[in-house]
Amino acid sequence: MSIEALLDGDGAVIAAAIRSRTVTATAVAEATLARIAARNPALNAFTDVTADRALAAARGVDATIAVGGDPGPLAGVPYAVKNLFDVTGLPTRAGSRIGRDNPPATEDATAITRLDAAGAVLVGALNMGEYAYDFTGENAHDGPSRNPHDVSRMAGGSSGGSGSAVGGRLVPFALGSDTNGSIRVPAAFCGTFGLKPTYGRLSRAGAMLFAGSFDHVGPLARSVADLAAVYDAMQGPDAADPVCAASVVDPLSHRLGGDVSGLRIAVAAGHFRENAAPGVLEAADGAAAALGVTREVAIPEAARARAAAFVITTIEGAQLHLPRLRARAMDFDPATRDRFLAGAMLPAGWYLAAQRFRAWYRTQVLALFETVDVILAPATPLPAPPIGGQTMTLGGATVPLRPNIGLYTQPLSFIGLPVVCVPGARGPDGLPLGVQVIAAPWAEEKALMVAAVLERSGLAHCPGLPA
Amino acid sequence: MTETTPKPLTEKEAEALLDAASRALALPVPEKCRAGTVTNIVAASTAAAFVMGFPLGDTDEPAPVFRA
Repeated sequence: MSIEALLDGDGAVIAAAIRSRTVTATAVAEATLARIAARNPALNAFTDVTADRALAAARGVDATIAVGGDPGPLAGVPYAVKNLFDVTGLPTRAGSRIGRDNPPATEDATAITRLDAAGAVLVGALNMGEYAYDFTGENAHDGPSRNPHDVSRMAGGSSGGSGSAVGGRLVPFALGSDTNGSIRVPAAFCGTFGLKPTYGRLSRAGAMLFAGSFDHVGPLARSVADLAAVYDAMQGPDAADPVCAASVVDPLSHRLGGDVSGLRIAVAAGHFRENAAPGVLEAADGAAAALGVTREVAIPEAARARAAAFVITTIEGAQLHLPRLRARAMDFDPATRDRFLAGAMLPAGWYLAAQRFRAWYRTQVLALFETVDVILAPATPLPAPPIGGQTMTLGGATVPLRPNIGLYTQPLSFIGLPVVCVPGARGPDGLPLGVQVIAAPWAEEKALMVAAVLERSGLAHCPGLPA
Repeated sequence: MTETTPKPLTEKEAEALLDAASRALALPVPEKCRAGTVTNIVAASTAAAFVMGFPLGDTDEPAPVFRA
């Protein structure tokens, strides 16, 4: 297999080729850097390319293999990270103009340290919506990350560069963060797999927060096996993240082929079947049909959960950025500035009511998971809109586009449920659509196993790029 | 929603909240951002009114540090 063909595939195949000495990690890194140089101008996915670091890391992998050592499960697999992750030597910009004035980071985020220890090779940092307050992938400072299936369309946000780079075959996997849908939306728009793990599962240390109550980190990739391999490498407790609750490492890559016939699977009804554009519900129903699922379940008060997520997000985000809003408001992206300013002004009573409702909602949904193991739902209410779009049609009404892209993702991250976003479906205009495979807290394995079944059936796959 | 739960703010009410909170937080709002900030306060008030229309009990504790 040529290196170019390898780079079009998934990370597991690249790692196997490197471990078997079919190709060197250095050659893979060089080819990846060349591909980024050739294709990134059209996609605008990368804001930084760490070529020297990548080549040094790749040579290290090759040296380990040369002496018969174990380079790790992700041996020589190139990857990139949303630019809110600390990367030694780079200012952590988090999509902002202000962040690029920061001194360079002096150490890597925990996620990067763990991936590097597993043999992966960091090749750069990725474009994103400013401070992660975004569903579009647009950015006034760096320009929009673009959808590899139609560069006039949004990549989705806020991990827009992550979706663009993985969907566009620049890297086999990338890290993103998800507060209200920021891994799942770009995964759906760009036709990749995405994993938002259980809240507290993976360390966020060294990743700039947005709304701490909901912030998660996780991978976008082109196969379920790669999602699982990256997830496994990132697991483990971390005292540097007070939210990281996992006390044990529970690798699951070797269990993806497990039998799911005993799992109780249902399709989300109610909120998750309302206000969808043509093709969106068909994507979820296609996954259900492939699994032989006919049952529906209603997640209670999902619309109110979304409203509460909105209130908590805007207040926590504004509080985090208050010093910057005081000092440099006009250096914010106009798309985030007024929302952050507004969030700072809101009564504490609104915030606490939303947090109290969150506890009630969590109890209800946990009770629902006593009767079901996995729930299927659409990822977004529409495929990728045109870059610069301001409105969308929702239930026959014209509404603002930006806040409503997260219609189906927000009620789930609101209580930290693990979700795998699977690609494969396309809308009437040929653009990718995603389906959320949702499990109970700490049950990532069930969601990944169901996603793997859909992948083996041929239904879930990264759609090919236009010629 | 009963009359004892909040209603979404009008633009005028949102402007009053903005002015008071701006002083309370020592957070000046540039004139160029004022209209957009008011619009977003109104939007947040609509979401908050929806949330606060839900009847919570005394034992429904807030979850500021959430454990899934």
